[in-house]
Amino acid sequence: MPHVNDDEVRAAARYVSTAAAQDFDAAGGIDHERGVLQVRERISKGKFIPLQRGQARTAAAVDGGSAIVMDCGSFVVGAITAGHVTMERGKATAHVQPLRLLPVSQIDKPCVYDEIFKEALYAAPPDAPESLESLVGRARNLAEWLDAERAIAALDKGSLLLIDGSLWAGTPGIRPLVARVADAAQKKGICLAGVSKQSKLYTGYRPLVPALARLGKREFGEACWAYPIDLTEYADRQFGETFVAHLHPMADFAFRVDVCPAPGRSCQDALESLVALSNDPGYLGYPYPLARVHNEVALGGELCTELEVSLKRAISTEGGELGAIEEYGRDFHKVLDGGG
Amino acid sequence: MEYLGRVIGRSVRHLRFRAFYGMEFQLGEILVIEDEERGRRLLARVIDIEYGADAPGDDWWERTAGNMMQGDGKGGFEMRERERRLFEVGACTPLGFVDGGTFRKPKVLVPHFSKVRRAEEADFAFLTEKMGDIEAGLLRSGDRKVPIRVGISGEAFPHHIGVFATTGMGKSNLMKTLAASAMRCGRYGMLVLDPHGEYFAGAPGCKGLSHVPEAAERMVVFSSRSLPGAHNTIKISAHEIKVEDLLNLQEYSDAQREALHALSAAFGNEWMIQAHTHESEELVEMLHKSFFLESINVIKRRIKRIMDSGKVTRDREVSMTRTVIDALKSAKVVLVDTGSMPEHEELLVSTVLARAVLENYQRVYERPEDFKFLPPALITMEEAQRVLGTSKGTIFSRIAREGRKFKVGLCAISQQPKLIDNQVISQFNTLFILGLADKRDRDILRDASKQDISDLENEIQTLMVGEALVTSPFVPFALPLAVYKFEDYLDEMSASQKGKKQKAGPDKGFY
Ligand SMILES: Nc1ncnc2c1ncn2[C@@H]1O[C@H](COP(=O)(O)OP(=O)(O)OP(=O)(O)O)[C@@H](O)[C@H]1O
Ligand SMILES: [Mg+2]
Repeated sequence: MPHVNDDEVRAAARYVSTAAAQDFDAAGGIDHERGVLQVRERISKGKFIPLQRGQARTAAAVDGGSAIVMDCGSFVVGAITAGHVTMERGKATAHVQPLRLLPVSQIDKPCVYDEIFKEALYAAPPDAPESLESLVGRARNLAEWLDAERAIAALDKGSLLLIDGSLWAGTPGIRPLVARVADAAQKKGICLAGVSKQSKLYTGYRPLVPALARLGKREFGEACWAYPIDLTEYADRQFGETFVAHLHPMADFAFRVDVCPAPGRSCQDALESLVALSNDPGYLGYPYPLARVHNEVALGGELCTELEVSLKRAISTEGGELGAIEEYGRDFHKVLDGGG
Repeated sequence: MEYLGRVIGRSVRHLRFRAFYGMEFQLGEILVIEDEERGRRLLARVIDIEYGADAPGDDWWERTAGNMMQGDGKGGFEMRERERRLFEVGACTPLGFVDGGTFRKPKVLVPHFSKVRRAEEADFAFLTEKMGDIEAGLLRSGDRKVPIRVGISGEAFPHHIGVFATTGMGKSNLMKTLAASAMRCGRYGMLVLDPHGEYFAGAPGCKGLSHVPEAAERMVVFSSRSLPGAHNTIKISAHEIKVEDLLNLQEYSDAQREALHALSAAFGNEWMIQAHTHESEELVEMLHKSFFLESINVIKRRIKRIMDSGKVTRDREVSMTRTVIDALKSAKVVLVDTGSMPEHEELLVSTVLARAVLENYQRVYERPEDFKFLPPALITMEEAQRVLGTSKGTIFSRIAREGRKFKVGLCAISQQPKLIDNQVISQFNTLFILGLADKRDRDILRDASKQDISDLENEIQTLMVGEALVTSPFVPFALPLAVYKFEDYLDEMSASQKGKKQKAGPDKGFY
């Protein structure tokens, strides 16, 4: 074990303390693909909008799941799925896409990505993902937007469609797909709302959402509110209007919420509908349909283990040399850290 | 068919199932697990019920409850999809497989995720043929009654019976029901010793054995007081009392003890009469001055008290024992109501009668041809811990040890089985366990019972009045029983008797 120097610890603590105390000052540094954005404007208490509990309406939520089922370094087998859950008068119906396996190597990465991208956007991608992991991540993101289209097709006018994550077209070249989804929602009179569990909005040194949550709590106590964030400078990628919202008076968390209201409806109206969906005691302050769909599409450890087993069995029956493949996939970390 | 849930584990002796939200099932309830692969059913008894939820992570429960409590204060909350996310987990002990008409011990697992459903009457049909002719009540599943009659076989009487319950849980009601059933069946003798005087007419507001339609023909009653109905007087002969009987009932010093034995040795079964007749000084002489006058005086005083009670005669021929034995041999119920007698007299009479029965049956045993037709007899004793305690070598513990061979059984009724000698209690093949509050009492029965009831602790603790478990080697598992309320059983008996008479009417009366 390395020796821990107290001075090192104190220096780090000083840095963190100063950073956390920074006022909402502008600073630089953004990452377009991952949606890491600096919010430039100063925070003002006057901008908080109090939210009431709105009317419950039919809501659907879209989410995706992905995992690397087999990792041999130079090639991997990824797995993705996406799906949506529709909740109508307390009853939930899940529609989950069948699992898709993505075997891909460093060498054919661009081809594979090309194919997946074209399926969704009918055009060649402007770039290729850097790593195999990011390819799987992008494929999942595409699958989620495609499933959002399916969900919209099935929803009635006046419903709400929740997206897991922001309405941010981060992946290069994906904007037309997100626009297609947003347009379809508009045309059908469906409100689109993206709720981010992990916002990458920063204000200076600080993460914006918890900072606002703290401020909101200090100013308004136990209340529902929304705080509008101006992201107009990112209009080339950002859809709808962005808020940080506290959706249950007693919730510990606030979330970034991007809203494209249905024509003739307001963002506030949409946010208040979210309040009505965010009072499940298991997930207080988070819209229940998103929690539900997350559990539907998550590719958990057990499923992955099962997949790995079936994959290996199939490798044998397909004439593959399983012994070799297993050796390629061996990871000395597992020996070091146990679990291998 | 009510679908409750599916099996989720865990081992061949311990099954767990997930039940639909809000599906009510109870501790002690018997459920059916469908083994669809092999086309048979497993009966299983619920021994515990737990909470379950499709919860992400271990702290979900605390967090959610916390959120609800917060919501109670502000903002409210609404648990979505309760039915989907929340459930109950039933823990069960498998009882056995029902495969066609046969019942087999559960030695193998049911398939994963087998369906669990509520049991129906038909699922218990296999039990019907195992039920004996002395009825006690209906099969119970949790607190639900299943219309399957539960009874023990009178042939099992000589294997002894224990009836154990905390006061007020229904021991006497059960005994009255068993006695009524014995009268109705008419194949077994039953000597009912009733120290509380509660069986003949019943406690106020209740009914007694005198109300049993068959009582006139099938019951003989003895009492020391006047009863509202035909009965004989309790009388035993001094010849029938042995020195040990007094020793078991009263405290004696070593010297008095020896003197008693000496009297018995000197006068045989006349000892009591002789001791009663002669003056103390004479007795000292007769016993060759081996004893102090004081010892003899104490003995004489006690004998006098017994002789003066009016229940004991000097006349060998006047005793009730002959009648009692004859009645038992003709498969009748003999009720001995000692309600008005002091405890030592009651116990003396009971002891004399019990011994007379055992000895008589022992004599018949010597004549195999007669013994074959001798109906088994059951002697029931309330507050049996009084005569079956560790140190007591009473006739009752002797019957428990030796009676089986001679077709004499003991039915011990007690609130405190822990006071009964372990050796004796292990002789009871059939146990009726009603609600028992004391853990030590339950522990004793767990060890004594002929079925493994160690998993049933929760159930026994929650038994209500009249609810029982019956264990015996003659039934396939500890049977949950709802004892008939005696009065209801009587109504049913009268109804069925009327039915019989009406049916029989035309045949007999017509010609
Ligand atoms: N199976 C039954 N169904 C309905 N009621 C019952 C049942 N058994 C007993 N009871 C009622 O419970 C009360 C007590 O019953 P019982 O006298 O049989 O209890 P016990 O165990 O003999 O009590 P104790 O210890 O005082 O002798 C009575 O009022 C009786 O009617
Ligand atoms: Mg009683």
